[in-house]
Amino acid sequence: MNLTSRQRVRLALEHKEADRVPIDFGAMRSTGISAIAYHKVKKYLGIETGHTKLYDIYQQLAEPEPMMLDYFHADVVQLHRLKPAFGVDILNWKAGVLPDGSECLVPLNFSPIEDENGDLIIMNGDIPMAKMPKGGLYFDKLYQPFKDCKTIEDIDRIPMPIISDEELDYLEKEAKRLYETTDKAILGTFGGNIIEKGESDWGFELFMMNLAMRKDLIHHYLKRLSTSHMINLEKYLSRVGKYIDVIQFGDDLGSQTNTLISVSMYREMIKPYHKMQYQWVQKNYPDVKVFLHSCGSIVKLIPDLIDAGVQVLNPIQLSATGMDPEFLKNEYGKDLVFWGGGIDTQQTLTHCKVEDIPSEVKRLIDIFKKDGGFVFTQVHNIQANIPPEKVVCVYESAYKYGSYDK
Amino acid sequence: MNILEKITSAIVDGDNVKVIDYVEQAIKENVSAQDILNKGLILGMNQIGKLWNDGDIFIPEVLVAARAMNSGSEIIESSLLKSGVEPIATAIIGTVKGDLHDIGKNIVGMMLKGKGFHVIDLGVDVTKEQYLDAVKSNNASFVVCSSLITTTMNYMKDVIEYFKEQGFRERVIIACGGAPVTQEFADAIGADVYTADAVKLSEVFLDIVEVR
Repeated sequence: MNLTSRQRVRLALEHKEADRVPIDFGAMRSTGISAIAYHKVKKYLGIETGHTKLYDIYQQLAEPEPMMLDYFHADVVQLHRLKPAFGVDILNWKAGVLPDGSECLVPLNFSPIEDENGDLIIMNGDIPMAKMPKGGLYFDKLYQPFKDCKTIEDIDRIPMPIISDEELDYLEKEAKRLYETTDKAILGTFGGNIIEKGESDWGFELFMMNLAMRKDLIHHYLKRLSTSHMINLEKYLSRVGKYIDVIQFGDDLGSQTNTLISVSMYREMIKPYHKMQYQWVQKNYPDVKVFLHSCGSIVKLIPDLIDAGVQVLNPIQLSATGMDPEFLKNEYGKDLVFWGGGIDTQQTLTHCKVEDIPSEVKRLIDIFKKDGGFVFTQVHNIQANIPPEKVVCVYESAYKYGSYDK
Repeated sequence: MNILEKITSAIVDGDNVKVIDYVEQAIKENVSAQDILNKGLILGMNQIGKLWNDGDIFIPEVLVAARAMNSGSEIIESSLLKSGVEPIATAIIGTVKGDLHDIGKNIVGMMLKGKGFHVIDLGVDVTKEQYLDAVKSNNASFVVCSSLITTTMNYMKDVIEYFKEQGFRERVIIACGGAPVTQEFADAIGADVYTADAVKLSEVFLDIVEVR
């Protein structure tokens, strides 16, 4: 079988076995690699050409270059949003420096200011949007526009995000370029966040409390939010739907040990807004698969997620309670494509020895690969402190053990 | 249902308004501030802890109960001080240097208050020096270090080592927690306490106080 990457991924998405398990190396904002770790991998491999682009300033992630995708036999590329984080576009680039002092390219309009404590602050006009503490490795959100909302009128005064014509033009051009100049499957980053957007718009604690106490207020907010998501979704897919293979949504629903909210609260407060988006995609763009990134212990919610329209689930957080790979594959493998779960990043990759990696990768591939429905990637972003030999070993093992022997 | 039982029930329901009403009513009925705290508010948070442990409630319900507890506590705070009632112990909590995630740490603070601890919250991005200074200035006997990410959790070891260097290690119980932290990691860095969630941490701290 001589397959292109795109064909290989399409087969996996259709729950069919290809020649080997497809590999995703950094094609999504939660399957990525820190730019610091990426530099170390290139150096370790003796690759001195190319330029690292810091496309995700929030999590400080690198855009994997074509030669690195080829080296790791990666099968997927990402169609980015124009402004992946904090309103900073990625149209143009300039020289920049990472927290470890290494050089890279950063978005032209990424110009954080240093405050009196040495922390870096990203501003939007007069508003501080995000902060990286001195000595830290990530930015975190500061701005919560809905935090003072107490009435429906307060909510209505704040505009919801609408995708711009500039972004739609960028998306179409970029999707076409990726489709025509690579043979990789294309993951279109959309978002469509419901609970996470609520948490960041209101502040985590206030949003969570209002989910329990002010259901009227939160339903009103989520109706407005999902209406804007639907407008954006229709526009987005009308421009890129013919090019992309999966559309990525995101909403972390779990903590380390349980779901953040009860199943009944999910059904009442969140699911209707997930279902509206996911089922619309399934109905109108059946060739574009619905991909949900949702961290944590979410096993109790999986039947509802499937019912809402999720077709591809990521990251399969193996270290969270109940996220047992054998159980998940046996119970939900016919309904879901597992995109992730190839090696645990939180415990294994952080604490293990390099020589422990191949057997762990093989064990997980053997569980997930049966009948297709699996795309290999580690559970979450590879962090800055992960040694390059571990990263290389993960992906070499994935390629070695991913074969379907056809 | 007497007034203290009503306070307990309102805490479990997360009903902020009723907790305030009932605490004010209890004061009018000459119920002591100490009884309002121990036999009303804290009993309510104990029930919340049990419901959490049993998997019957989730983060939203815990947060609204904790908010109600805080509202009730604020009303009786000055009376408790006047009558010389001491908190059972003081705990310093914070998210370690380089890490800005505070959800877990905040819930720890709420649950400790719910057990009657005096909680000093240093916030996020907390240095080892800040932890020690806070212990010294508040005569605290417990320290809680929180971290969400694998790249910051090693700083917890730095905190413990710093307390050793400064001769304060034996004077405090140090707990470590957060999503990537495990019992093995906590043991390896020399922490005294690790629990998988905030409710259990508050229960373990209370056990330690009672044994002492």
